[in-house]
Amino acid sequence: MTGQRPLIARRAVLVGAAAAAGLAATVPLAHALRAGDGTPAAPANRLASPLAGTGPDGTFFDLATLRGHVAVVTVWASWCEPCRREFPVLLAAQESWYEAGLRVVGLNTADRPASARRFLREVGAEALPMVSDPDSRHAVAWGVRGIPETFVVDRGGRLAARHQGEVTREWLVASVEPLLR
Amino acid sequence: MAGGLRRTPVALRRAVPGLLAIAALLLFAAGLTRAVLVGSGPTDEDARVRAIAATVRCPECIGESAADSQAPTARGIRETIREQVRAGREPDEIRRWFVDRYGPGILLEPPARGLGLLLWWLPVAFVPLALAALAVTRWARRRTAGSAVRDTARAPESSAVQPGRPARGALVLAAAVAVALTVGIVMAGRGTGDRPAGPAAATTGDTELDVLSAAARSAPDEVGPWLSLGRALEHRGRLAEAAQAYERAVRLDPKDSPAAFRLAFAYARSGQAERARPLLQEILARDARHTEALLLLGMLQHEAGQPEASETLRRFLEVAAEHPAAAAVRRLLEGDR
Repeated sequence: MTGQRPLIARRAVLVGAAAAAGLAATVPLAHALRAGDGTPAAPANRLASPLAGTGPDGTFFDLATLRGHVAVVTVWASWCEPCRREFPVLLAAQESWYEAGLRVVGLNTADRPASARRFLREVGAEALPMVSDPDSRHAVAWGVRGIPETFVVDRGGRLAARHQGEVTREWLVASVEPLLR
Repeated sequence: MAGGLRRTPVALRRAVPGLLAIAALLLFAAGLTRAVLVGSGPTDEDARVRAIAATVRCPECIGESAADSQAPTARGIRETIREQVRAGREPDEIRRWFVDRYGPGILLEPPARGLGLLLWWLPVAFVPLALAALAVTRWARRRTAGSAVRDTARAPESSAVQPGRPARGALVLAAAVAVALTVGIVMAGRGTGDRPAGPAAATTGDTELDVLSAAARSAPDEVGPWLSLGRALEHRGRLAEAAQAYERAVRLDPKDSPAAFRLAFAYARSGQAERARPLLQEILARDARHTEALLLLGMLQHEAGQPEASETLRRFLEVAAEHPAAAAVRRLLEGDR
């Protein structure tokens, strides 16, 4: 009967070890699972989310009116410096491909209309159609991960490409030009 | 009196494992109840929005939920969740809506399928199994102990105590296992392994960020609030957002060297040395003896293998021979020779 205590102690050690092993396996595995599916591929080739509303100057715009065109939708804010750098690139792209059917559209997110208007004046983009998105709900509906982000919508209204961060002329050539042919 | 004193500790000693087991089981039950409550969602709208947002990742942050972040998309996610909650959509429907747009990685919990599902239910299934196994052991032991007592007709004290002991021991062990597994489930669910090490993991002081962020956006043309917001974000390790705040401050006042240096430092720390270097050169063009700018630029040039590095670092040593980093810089320069 004096063997009872060592037996319990041994069992306690065994159970403790099993629990520890279980913990050791569960937590990192769960973590690995979550980390593994980090950034999925852009869900391209589905219909672009609707985009309609008033811009910083109060003009109403609906992306649906551009069906038949290729649209480059840029998500920007006046407080975003990369956005300021990429606007000349976007404006140049529209100029080169306007005749072929390219239109650049802005989604002005997490911003104030007055700041946005000043920004557009400064970068010379006052003529571009814009939709204001002060609470970022449009941006979230488009699956925006950060600002700036740019989407290309084909003539049928489908998402053809997306780019996180500042766009370059090279990226636009690669993703827009084939759609204009 | 003396007998009473002697008996009390024995009674206490017998009661302790039982009490411990009960406490552990209560803890386990509380953990499970909490998990179930979080899953079914509270009734108050704000709390429901928060509960759902806590399971959605902030897409522009590192290891932060949409409930905790001040980033614009996180606020957009919270607004979207609120809108959908008001429309009467279920938490799972709302989460699916985000998965459709961002992919499964937007959720902050293991996917409820395949290995993920197994991970969630394995510990839960293990607890009743372990309890059953221990009950069987206890039953078998009591039978052998009982027959041993009958056979040898031991003293009454031992026959009263011995069969009970393994049973209580088994209960304590089962409770310990249950607690360990609860902790496991909670840790896996909370995603403790998901947060980056460093200041970002330790801080949740979001009230400060709320205030600073609101201040900066309500006075978007003033440098000060953007600098404060940048510093608070930088302090939390959110360098990309900090850089955006500093960018804003620098654009408002391009000659503000402290702001420009913070921006360069945030760029450098977030792996954007190519942006940090020209900014540091601008600072040095205004103030050739800016110690920290010389040091940071020199180190960045050195890392990039640029030959100007040694010249920049030598200028740093001329300006700040007593700087805490001076000795290390000297060693670096000697090593390069």
